[in-house]
Amino acid sequence: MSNGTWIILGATSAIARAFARKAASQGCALVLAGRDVNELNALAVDAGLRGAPMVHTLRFDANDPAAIAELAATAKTAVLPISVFLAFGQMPDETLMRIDPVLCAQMIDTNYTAAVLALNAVLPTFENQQSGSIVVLGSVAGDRGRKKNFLYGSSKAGLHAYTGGLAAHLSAFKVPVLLVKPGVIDTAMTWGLKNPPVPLGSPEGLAEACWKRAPKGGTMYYPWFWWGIMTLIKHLPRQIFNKLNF
Amino acid sequence: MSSWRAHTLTGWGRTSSATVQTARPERLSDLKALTQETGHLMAYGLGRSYGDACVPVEHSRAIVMQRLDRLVAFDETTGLLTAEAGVSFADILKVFLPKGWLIPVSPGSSFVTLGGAIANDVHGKNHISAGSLGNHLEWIDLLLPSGEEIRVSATQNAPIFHATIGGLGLTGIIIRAAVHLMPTRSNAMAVTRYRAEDLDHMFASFMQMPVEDTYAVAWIDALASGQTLGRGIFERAHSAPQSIDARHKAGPGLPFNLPGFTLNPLSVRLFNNMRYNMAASSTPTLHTVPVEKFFYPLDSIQNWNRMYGKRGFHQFQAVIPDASAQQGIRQLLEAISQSRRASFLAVLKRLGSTGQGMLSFPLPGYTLALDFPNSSGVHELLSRLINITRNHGGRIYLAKDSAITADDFMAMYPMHTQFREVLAQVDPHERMSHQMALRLGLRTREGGAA
Repeated sequence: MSNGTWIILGATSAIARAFARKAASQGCALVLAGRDVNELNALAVDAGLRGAPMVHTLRFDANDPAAIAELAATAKTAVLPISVFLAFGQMPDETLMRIDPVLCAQMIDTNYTAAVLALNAVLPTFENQQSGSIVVLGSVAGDRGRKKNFLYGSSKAGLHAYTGGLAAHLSAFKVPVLLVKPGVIDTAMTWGLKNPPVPLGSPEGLAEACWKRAPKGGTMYYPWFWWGIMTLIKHLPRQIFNKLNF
Repeated sequence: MSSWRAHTLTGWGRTSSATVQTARPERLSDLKALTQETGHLMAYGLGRSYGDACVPVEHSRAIVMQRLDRLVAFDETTGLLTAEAGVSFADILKVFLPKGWLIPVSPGSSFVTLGGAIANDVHGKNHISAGSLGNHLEWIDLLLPSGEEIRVSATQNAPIFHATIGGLGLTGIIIRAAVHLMPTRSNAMAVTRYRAEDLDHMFASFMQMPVEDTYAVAWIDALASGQTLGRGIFERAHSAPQSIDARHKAGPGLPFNLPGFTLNPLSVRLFNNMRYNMAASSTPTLHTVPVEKFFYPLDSIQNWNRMYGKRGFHQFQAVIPDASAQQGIRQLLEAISQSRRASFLAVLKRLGSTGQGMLSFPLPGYTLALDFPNSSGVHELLSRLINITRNHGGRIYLAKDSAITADDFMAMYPMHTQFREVLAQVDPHERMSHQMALRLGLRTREGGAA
């Protein structure tokens, strides 16, 4: 019995790399999709040595319609069943995005539009195979728009709504969809943070948690305590919430 | 893209630290741009050097190498593994032990990077048969301070190769290396363990090893004196014929520093007595243990260095050449036992030949390693131990050291002159530096300006 193929979208991030390694160690074939071809090739060799029986790389720019078509074709020819780990996204400086419409639109196009189009492209394969699973990286920032990052947060909120509907749709096809809401993870994005107020999650820990939870689907916070933090934030009365500076 | 961030780095013993600008590139292509910044620079692995070998100069820059950890190639017939320098021994073992391969030489912790292990030319419990890590390297890819990337090996840029092995990271940034893994029959070690009554018994044990046992180590009760001086537990081992079903898990961690008084002469004496009396019988007994448990006893408690409290600890490791090994080790143990300074781990090992590096630690003889809490008076003890070592023609292991002087260094490492010549060639502006390099007189504070 084949272990199937994990298609990793945005494969060069630290979190995606950790997840690809986990899937490789479990004997799954991999399609690594991303923009940096040299890096994809390096990751492909790494994943092969860690146990992936077959690794393909796919030059994939999320904002390129041709890339979406190529993804759909790849999904059809991969060793079935396929599963998808959607990890691409960007978080430019919020104050810059407010004055730079191009930068802001790019962020929304990547985090929301491209994610929706990519998942739409592989949807028929999931409907046909009636197995495999989908993991989508959302963000705690998508739970409630906050002063500090509501542009980024709103793109993720859109993605959350899409993922929720996708999960409902695919439940009839026995395909679990997992929406992951990472808190602060120790990646290049957060390396610049001074004195993070909460313990950082590791990419390996997050990948491990995604791997365990993927067959069940649903929504998962990581590290787990973010569930508590976000429940509190979501329910803060507006008068208080509006006065907070975060 | 990779950014700089202020970060405080310490050695594993936590006795010295520095707040510096750090960057942690996620891919090799990010590394070069980072090295173009001015000022002193060093590569930082997992920070397991005990003293100041991994502590940057204050206000300088350090590049954290942990995320440059891709496996690059593996030859199933020869066992030659090529990997990026930030890969940890734990990671290598996780992937290759199930395929029947061991890292040829392992220090007491698997939480070390390949680059760090090369830069300290680490050795293990099989030094007699296997030598140190440098003996198993095919080549090293080095990013010179000039930004040029070169490959060094025994036949290509040989002087730089021998300066890089055990070279404390001063020749440039190790970015990739090819290392020969060692085939093994199983995931377990067949360990013969017994109590040795005194130091003579201990030395006799090392000298009368059965041929099949290629690994040996002794744990010595450093507080024992008089008749029982040098008593402890002797272990010799070879790879077990069959695998065992044992899943090794990381142990509990120490999330904070224990109060300094936890380790006092009384508690350590009790611990050592307990260990000596309970851990082994006086007749040799065979145990089959998982590879990880045999090689990496220190990894069972994460952040065990916090056990010594906020002030940290010093580790002392010396080798005494064969000619006066018994006498030298006895004098060291006497000095330690007289000092009444608590120490959990006193480890005695036998070393074979000298290493491949100009600053490699090993030489034929016996090596003793132990910890001392960083309390007042510890420096007097350390200088006493350093003097005993020097008088016997021995040397101190730089990966552990926090105490020797530039003068001690030159006496112990005669090839320092050749090492300096290579540094002058590859790093004329003294870019690569750290606190140990300043202490040993290999670098000056003014360096790195260009």
